[in-house]
Amino acid sequence: MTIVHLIPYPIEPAYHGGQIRSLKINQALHENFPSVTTICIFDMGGYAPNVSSVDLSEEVASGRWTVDWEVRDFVVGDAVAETPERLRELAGLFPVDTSLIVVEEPWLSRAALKIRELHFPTAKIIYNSHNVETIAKNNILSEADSEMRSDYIGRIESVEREIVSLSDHVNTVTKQDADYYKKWRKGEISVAPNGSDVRSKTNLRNVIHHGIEPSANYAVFVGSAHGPNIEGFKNLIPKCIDVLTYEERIIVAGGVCDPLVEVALNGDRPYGFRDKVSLLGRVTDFGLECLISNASAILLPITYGGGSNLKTAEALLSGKPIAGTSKAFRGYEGFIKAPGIWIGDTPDEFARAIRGALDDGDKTFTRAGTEELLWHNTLSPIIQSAKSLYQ
Amino acid sequence: MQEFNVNLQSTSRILLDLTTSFTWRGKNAVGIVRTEREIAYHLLNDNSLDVIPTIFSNGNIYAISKEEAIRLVTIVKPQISAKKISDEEIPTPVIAQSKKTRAKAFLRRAAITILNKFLSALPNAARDSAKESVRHGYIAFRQTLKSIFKPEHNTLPQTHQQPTVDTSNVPSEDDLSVDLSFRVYPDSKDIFLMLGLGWDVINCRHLGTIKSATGMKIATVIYDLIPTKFPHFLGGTPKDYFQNYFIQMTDLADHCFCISKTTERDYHEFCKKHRSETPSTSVIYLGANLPSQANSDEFDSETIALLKTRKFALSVGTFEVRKNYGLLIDVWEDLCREPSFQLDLIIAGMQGWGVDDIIQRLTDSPLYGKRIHWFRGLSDAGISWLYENSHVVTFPSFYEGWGLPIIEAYLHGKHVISSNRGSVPEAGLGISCILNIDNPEDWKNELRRQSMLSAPQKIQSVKLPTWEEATIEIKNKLAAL
Repeated sequence: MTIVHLIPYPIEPAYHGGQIRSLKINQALHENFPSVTTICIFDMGGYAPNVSSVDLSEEVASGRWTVDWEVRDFVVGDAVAETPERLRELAGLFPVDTSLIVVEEPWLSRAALKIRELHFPTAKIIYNSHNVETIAKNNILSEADSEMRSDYIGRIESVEREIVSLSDHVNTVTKQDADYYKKWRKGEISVAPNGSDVRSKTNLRNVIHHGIEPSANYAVFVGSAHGPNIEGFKNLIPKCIDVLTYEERIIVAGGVCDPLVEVALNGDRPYGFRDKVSLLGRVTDFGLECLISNASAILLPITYGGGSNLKTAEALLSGKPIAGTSKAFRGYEGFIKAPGIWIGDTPDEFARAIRGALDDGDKTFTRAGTEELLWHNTLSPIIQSAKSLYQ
Repeated sequence: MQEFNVNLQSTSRILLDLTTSFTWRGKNAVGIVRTEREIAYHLLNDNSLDVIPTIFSNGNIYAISKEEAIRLVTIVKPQISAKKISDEEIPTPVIAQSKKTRAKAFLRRAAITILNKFLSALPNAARDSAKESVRHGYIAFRQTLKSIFKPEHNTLPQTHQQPTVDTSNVPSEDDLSVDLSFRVYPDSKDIFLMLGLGWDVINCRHLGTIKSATGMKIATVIYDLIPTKFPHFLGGTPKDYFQNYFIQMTDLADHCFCISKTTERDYHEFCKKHRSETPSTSVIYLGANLPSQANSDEFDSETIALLKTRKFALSVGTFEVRKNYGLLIDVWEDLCREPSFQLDLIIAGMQGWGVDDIIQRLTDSPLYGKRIHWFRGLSDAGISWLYENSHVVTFPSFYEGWGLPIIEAYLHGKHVISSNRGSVPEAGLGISCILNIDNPEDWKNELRRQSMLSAPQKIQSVKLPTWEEATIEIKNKLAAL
């Protein structure tokens, strides 16, 4: 009996939150089940040089779908589900003894449901939600002021509603998301929050990125080029620069840096950015460890979005002071009152939060219950549901 | 992985210098490079230690991830297959090769002269950076030319055809690249451990600046004092290149690991001569774990058949003056006149400096390609295969800091006939046949005796040093620092 794990992006290397969560789920499946087939289908233009299990380049470029990045994941899923040849190709990748299909995010779910109906009628499906996409995409398209919004939101909701109602089990990342899905589904919904790894025990003191002065104290923000990361930074950080002293910095790492270059150069605070902010771009896992180990504080400036922020778990486990929004603690509400956490939802409040966190910069906080945030624990509902459905 | 009971202070941290492995990445490791890789591998996998792998570049220490470090110390060059040349294939004439070599040397000298003129015009502060840039530029230029004109090392008159490269296992550029974005700012609790070719890859002036500014401790390995004790064995015109390095290390290092008692004694002599104080030293014996399982893939079927049917003596080591291969050629030329002498000679090692005349003698010898063979560019697996199939191992070196081929021979259960110089008797661990290299008749007699044996002579049981023991000694001493 084989489990097929269907993922809408490559997972190695894993950069953004969805990739990291899917990778961890994939690893947990491999650890707990004898046979797992991983199928990753995605737009290869966005994830070069990774190769999609099914090449949809021609379909995506056919003009039948829009290619705007905001809905590219939906388009890829729609293209594979609606093109019989590609659907057959995808079905051909399923082992003949497929008994359980684990679907990450809703984009490939329509294809998964069709393949089950046509080829594996007894197979079970687990849907792993990373977000309520109907809400998240609505926010992203509204933020982009996109004309596609009205057209696509209905279609996205239809896909998401379908997989939530027809799958044999659903896992969400927060209780709020589970509550939202209850209007679409009568069956059980489990919550499997985002987690983090234990960082290496190696002492990384004074291992500093060459773009940061060794004498500087800094607060670090790590994020992918995901809409909520970009908007949160744009809305909050430029107005916080003035609370930094001459020897303090805000360091930004990850894919979020690319769109923020424009903000730094052409926003209202180009000189403040020059003197107090460094955009490092993507760094390796080891680089992230070094950045976090030597940071005085961690920033979580998330102002909207569903699901839960994977970086919040990591920040909580680090023991570092945290300056974050209450949205960043979605799914981790129990930790908002934990020591060393400064909450701010407006620019002024966030500036005060940064100041407070940096003033605590030499402290390491022990936060009760953070061991529950390790992936091993957070993903156990997914593994339990897979075990109960595995035939 | 063996866990050790030694614990460094919780705040102590080893900055493990892998600049040599970085410089040699993707290449088969020999001698010092292999030592750095082996000890580094053990230290990196020891969970009781706080180790940060580092690269020294432009006067700074950069941290790399453990994953990158493990790749650096484990990735080897793709397997190449060495084939025996057919009778019709004429080796490159040695004279023509020598002219080429002379022309290259002339051009190199001219370039260095021009470069030095240019550098002397620069202010001191800019000179080191300019040198570094020029060096990297030169390496890149040379590698580009090499990749265009000379795909793999093919520079020698040879009895064996150019190897063919199996590209199926070639590491990609991604495998060999490392991220040097993160700089280490050491403090007095850090120990910078240098295991490699420090004289080539570490700028001691910059290292000294870091030490005096931070109080960082330094530990290093001294392999031998041959460059200062016997400078005539060395290539080029190093002037005080090595002497300066040893003096720098004497001043900078808080502890020196010497790879034999002979080397330790030589180093103390050196310190006595040049410095009033002798630094803290201890002896580590290099490990004898087989780096690779024997594999004959690099030899063509004709060569394998030849080596399987003939008894041969094996000599492993760079073809250089110090290895004293001239003695073996002389001895073989005499012995092969005796019909009863049925032992062939295999030399396995890359070409070193200053051996044109010995190579000329070798290639001019009527025995060359018939009773005496020379293999270059073999992998560890290929060399292991030669050891495995040899009748006896010879090691006539003029001087050594240790004598790894002797230990490797023991690992394959082979008897060793070795010289009486330097640390060679020490590396023999009391069971090698030690002969005076000034007395060729002794060598002939022993080789005649070996030739008469129908099977390889069995060796006495002996405990061989291991990399784990070397690592434990390093850990103990670093803990004491």
